[in-house]
Amino acid sequence: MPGIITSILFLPMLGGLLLLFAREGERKGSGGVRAFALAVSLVTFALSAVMYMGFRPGFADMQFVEEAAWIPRFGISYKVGVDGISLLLVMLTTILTPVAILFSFEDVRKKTRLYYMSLLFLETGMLGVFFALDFFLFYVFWEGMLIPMYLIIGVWGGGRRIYAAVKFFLYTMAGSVLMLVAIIWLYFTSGVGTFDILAHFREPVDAALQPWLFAAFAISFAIKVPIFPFHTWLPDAHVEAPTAGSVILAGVLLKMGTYGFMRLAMPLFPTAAREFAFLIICLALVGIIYGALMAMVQTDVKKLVAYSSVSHLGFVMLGLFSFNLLGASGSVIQMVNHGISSGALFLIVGFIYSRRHTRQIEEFGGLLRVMPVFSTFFIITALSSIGLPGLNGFVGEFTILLGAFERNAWFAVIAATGVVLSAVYMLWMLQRVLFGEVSVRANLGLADMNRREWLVMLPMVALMFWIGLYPKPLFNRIEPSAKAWLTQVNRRVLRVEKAPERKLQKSALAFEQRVEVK
Amino acid sequence: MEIVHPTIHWGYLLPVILPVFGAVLVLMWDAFLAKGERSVIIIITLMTLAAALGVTLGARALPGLAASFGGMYLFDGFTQFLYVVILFASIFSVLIAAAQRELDDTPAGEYFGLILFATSGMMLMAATRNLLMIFVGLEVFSLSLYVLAGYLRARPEGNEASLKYFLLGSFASGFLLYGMALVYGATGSVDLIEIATRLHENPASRGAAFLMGLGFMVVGLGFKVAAAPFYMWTPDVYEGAPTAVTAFMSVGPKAAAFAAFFRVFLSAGDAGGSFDTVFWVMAVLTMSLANLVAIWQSCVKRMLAYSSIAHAGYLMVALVASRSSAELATSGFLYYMLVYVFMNMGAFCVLTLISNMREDGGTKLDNLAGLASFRPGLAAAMAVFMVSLSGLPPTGGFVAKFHVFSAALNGGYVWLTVIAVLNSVVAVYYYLRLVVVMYMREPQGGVVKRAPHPGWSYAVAALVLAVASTLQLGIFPSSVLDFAHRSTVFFN
Repeated sequence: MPGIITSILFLPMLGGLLLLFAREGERKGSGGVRAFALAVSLVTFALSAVMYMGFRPGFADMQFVEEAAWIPRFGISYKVGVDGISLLLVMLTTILTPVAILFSFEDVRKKTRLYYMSLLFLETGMLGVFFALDFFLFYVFWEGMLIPMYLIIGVWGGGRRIYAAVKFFLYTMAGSVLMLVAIIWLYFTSGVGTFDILAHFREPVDAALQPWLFAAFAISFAIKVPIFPFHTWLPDAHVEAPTAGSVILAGVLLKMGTYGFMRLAMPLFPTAAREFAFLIICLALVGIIYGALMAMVQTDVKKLVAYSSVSHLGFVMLGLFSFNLLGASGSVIQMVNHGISSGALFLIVGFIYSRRHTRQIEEFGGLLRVMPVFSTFFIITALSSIGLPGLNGFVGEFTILLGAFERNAWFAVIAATGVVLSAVYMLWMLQRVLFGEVSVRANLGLADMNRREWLVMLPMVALMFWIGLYPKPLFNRIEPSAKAWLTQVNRRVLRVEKAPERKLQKSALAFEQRVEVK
Repeated sequence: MEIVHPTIHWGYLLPVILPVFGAVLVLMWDAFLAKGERSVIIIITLMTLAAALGVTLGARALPGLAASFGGMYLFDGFTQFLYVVILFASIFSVLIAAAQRELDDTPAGEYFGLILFATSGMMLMAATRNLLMIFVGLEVFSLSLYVLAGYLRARPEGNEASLKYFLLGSFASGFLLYGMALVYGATGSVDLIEIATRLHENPASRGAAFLMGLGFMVVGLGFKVAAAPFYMWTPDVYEGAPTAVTAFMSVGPKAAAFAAFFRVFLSAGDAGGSFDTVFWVMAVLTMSLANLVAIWQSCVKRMLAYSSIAHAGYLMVALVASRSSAELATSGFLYYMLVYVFMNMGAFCVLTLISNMREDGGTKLDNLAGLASFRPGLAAAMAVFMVSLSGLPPTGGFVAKFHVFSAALNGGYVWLTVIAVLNSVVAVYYYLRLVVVMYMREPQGGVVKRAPHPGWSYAVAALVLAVASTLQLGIFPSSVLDFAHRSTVFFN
């Protein structure tokens, strides 16, 4: 399928550019714009589904690679491809975008044309980050997608939207410029003479430089994830963003941070990654507990979900820095899972917000009686986020905990506390919002889910059950790439510092055998 | 004694001759043929500049033919690229001036004549390896700009701008000339190649006088590029001058004076090595001070003034790296300069149109509130320029910064690069504030419905060109990058 990635990548942008010629219909005419945007995102999804079908499981290499010279003078090329790690994140992006667009049909009333343009440009930006196999290209998408997200938060957000948008932008930018310096530095010091990411994988980086370069990459990604002390932009951005913005932000944008660690920071600088591993795992554990505790005390449902993201992404980081196959593949699954469950949670919050224009927990109670269907969806989503067996969340977190246990039992014990805490804050919130008597009169007349909201939620819930009950096809696609990733990370560690790594290598090998026996 | 006739390549001189002839023609036309006919004069000016640009682009700079008048005039690749920069800046400034309401009732012939003289001065300054010609070029454009800065005589700010620029400018010129005299005294030549040879052959010539001469030249040229600590005049002058002139001043003199910087310090070679540290400090100071002060500005024009100082700082970064990483730094400077023309002059063009819309002609930040709801095209163009000035992809500003930072890193200046990128984060704050105001605020009063200015089509042409070029230089930079690199091949 030549050109399939390029088509997936630029179709949304093309759609966004075509919207330039659409007429801005503030009240009556906006139907055309939004329907067009939805159609574009659905076609993108269809194309990505074709790519998913064509993807050959069992291969670790990049597939559907396309390459063209772009700025030959600097060895910069347009090089894109997909492997087991990025495949699922691409699918997540192409699924969440139409969902977000469909949700916005009723939600966004002003400047619709610019809004849908921003969403479509954003989709191209996110896909580009996952597809890019060239540092320069990666960076262009990485920073380029800031602008549409900034507009989405700043123009269509809530009361403190401008503050939140600027904070989001400055935090992310501050991190990514350091990454730019590191990229250029790497280009000049490595002697590879190109910005091709895969070529750099083959060339070990000087051990003395690694900590610096790793730190520059890691700060950029840590802000995006966000890892504990860098997380303060997240609650603000989430609370002020419009629902669709939150869905994309939690669903895909945060994954770009963890993906960055996995695709770039760790395999490029494995020695440094190992040196920093303990620190990062500690921060991840702090994030898991801290996020959960913060979520517990929130009075605003949306803020609660936002803090739960800090907690859940701590798991992903823990899995990655466990340096074993279980941790790595669990992390990839958990990235997808978190995208689905927290995206769905934000949609749910959006449903009640559009009815009551408040998100305060105390304003609700007893919704189960008034809106049974809505409540069912809410319960399923919350359980998926907690990690109930049979739903998607369980698969990821459990695998990660196994991986963490293999590395150090204490990590797993502390992280497991986070799972318990997540049950506490989620169930407590469910109890206060859904169960009991209807305490506020305004809630009595609330309408249950309408057809559009059904359509929005169905794919999400279907995915939760699918991944929860039958994750094997996903693991089949992830594992070869995760194994290759692991050898990349470990082999080069061995080359530089020998003694402590052998044990890890052995355990990874042992695990591989176990998997094959299974 | 035999008199040697200097070699003169007239074809290469044509790009400078054309604006001078154009200036004379415009002045005469205004005086005798069509008094007050703005549109004819504008068209003559534009055609002159376009012809010069065409000749420049069509020319092939060849090493053997580069020098005329014994090196007084030098048409190498570096010159060629800078001609493109300066001519584009000049064309934009004319297009903006054609659409600026405030300039409607001012004498057109003198205005556009002075613009053309200034253009030729800048071009001459960029196209020489002779210290005296550098000075002559500088004075030609400076004198024109002193007048142009105060062209709106009724405005007290204009008078202030002109006087301030003139007084401080002449002081700086004095420094420059004194520096040149000292260099001449130390080395016995005003020709840069000759100077380089003598410095090489005779280490004694690298004494205190030579270094002091270079130091004075740094002061003089630093003033013209508005680098810290010689930038104090910039905000007031930029704010007081007519917007079209400000736009021109923020680009043209920078290109010319940086060209001199590069030529002088690259030929000084190791002897000028101790100045790397000076430039390092100047670059850091310029970027940091300008960006920090720009945050607090409520007037967009003044903010753009500080922004232009900050960009001088980024260009200083290229200058710092010019010795250790000559090709990357020089081509990075050229590319940055070209991108800067489009993004910065585009921003000034939008600003002119906004002040046209208002009765008070205001350029305050609040005057842009809600622009996206009633002038979506204008707001989108401004957003593109701001994104590019911030150095974000996919615009030319990003590739330019990338290139300059590459040069600095290649030259080993890691901390300087880190400071520069952190500065660009600070800068994002104030550039994006314009986007905030245009897109996220509601419109305020004060916009008057009046018939569009007769010159609006000039402004639209300028905006289309600026937006298209800014994006093109960001998305498909390869051919222009190659041009920039070719332009450095036989430089020196």
